Amino acid sequence: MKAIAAVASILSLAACLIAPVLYAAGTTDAPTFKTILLIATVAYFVAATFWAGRARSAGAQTA
Amino acid sequence: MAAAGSSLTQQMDQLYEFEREPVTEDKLKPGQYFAGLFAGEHVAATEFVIGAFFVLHGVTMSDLLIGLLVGNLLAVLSWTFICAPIATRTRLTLYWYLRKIAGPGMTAVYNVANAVLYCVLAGAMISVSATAIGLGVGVPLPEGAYPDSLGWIVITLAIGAVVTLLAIFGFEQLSRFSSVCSPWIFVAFIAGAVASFPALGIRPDLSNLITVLDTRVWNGIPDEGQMKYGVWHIAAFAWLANLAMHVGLSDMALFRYAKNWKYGLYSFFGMYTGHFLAWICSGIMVAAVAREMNPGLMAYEALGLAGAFAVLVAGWTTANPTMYRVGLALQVVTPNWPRWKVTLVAGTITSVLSCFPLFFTELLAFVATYGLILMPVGAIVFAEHWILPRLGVEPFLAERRGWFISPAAAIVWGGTLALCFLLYRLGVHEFFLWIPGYLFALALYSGLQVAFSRSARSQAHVQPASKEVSLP
Repeated sequence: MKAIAAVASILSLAACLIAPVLYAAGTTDAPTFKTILLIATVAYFVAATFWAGRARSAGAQTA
Repeated sequence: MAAAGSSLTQQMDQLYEFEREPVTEDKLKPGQYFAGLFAGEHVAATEFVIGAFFVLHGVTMSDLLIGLLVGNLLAVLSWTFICAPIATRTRLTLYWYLRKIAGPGMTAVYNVANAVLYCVLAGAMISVSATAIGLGVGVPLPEGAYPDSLGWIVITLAIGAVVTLLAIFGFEQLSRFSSVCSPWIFVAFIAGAVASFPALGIRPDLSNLITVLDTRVWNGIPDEGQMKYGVWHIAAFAWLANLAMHVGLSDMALFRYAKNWKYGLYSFFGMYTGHFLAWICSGIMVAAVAREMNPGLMAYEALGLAGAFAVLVAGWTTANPTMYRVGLALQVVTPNWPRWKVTLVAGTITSVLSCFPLFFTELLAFVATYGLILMPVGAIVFAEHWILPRLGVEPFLAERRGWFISPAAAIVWGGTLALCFLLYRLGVHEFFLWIPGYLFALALYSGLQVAFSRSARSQAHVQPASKEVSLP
């Protein structure tokens, strides 16, 4: 699960970067890019919080 | 008076007891720890304001790039050659090292000065966050230096209350949340700049990118009422933005965990992300909103709701640890107060300060003043560590003699600030004041200690030194 959360957070972060690039390149319009960015942001925080939480509790068990 | 001083000393010593001993070999941290720490700490809410101000001050693109490259390099070198070597040789925090050099009274004054400056900084961060909330509920940023609507006051006080409560109850959880936020906030800066390209008229193939940046962003024309900045202003500001941390040596607390002084080079990861890329990005964002200095508006126009959220969390996550540090620093002068009570009082003061947009609209001047006030302490410690041993002066006079406050240190701190004030009145720009001030402090402290040492030696036949003190 931790690995999935880690991959999901990195992909979400990548989506946060790609969305404005697509907008600046004229591939998407402003509302679409802002919606993608918002969804990617929510996904990042869910995945990264889960990832960070799991990493910490795993660290606590081995400490 | 002597009893009060003794009580204060005991109180401070108890507070910092856990870090009294030099860091041991097994506690040293790897390089990536420092890289991560610097990268996370230097992408804060204030970056939205600083980069934007450079645009308003009419910086040209070449001046900005050269200035930031040079200034940030000087900052990295200051961490590497000034702060890290002393930290790795002593393995102590500035608090304990300064206590040996200048006495517990000096550390108390230093703590209070630090706390007051931290309050203002946290207040500025809360104001920045408030611009994002204000945008959502239709409350505009006040025009001048003072709050001009009840809505603005309510928003800033509400954010201040949340920040204070979290600093009291949930610092651990919040620091965990901050570590999650850091990479995303950095991405939000880059995304905001890229998303501003169409608004600035940059073509999708980027064929006119340089022309637009040169004419619409960093076009060399200052806004009305703003002084024009050149390459040296930018370089000096980038260098002094963290003056209290590197030249002022407060990052000894961090680098005492470094394996060697070269770990100071890891500050590169903070300077060239936050203080280079993020400042450039916020400059592009402010140009895209017709140079309106409103971080919430800049980010919202560029990124929508995610942008407003970025400004909110950037302010919130950086104001919180700052509030926590205020509480810690002020505990030394609030006898028997629990940490929560100190933090509550400091948080209330900070919340009131945050109502005044002055603190972020004058952020550049404040950052310069902040570094300037604490810089003489760094000069005193540097002189004591590197210069005085070469002049044959016995170290740690305050500790040897049991002084509450070292007269030489007090004279140097006050004298240096007086000199800087005089230079400022004579027209020297605030970004450059610290350089002559630092050299003056080094020379004055060394001179006073040499003079005192000679005077003490001539009396040594009468009264020998009380005890031996050695560097750990």
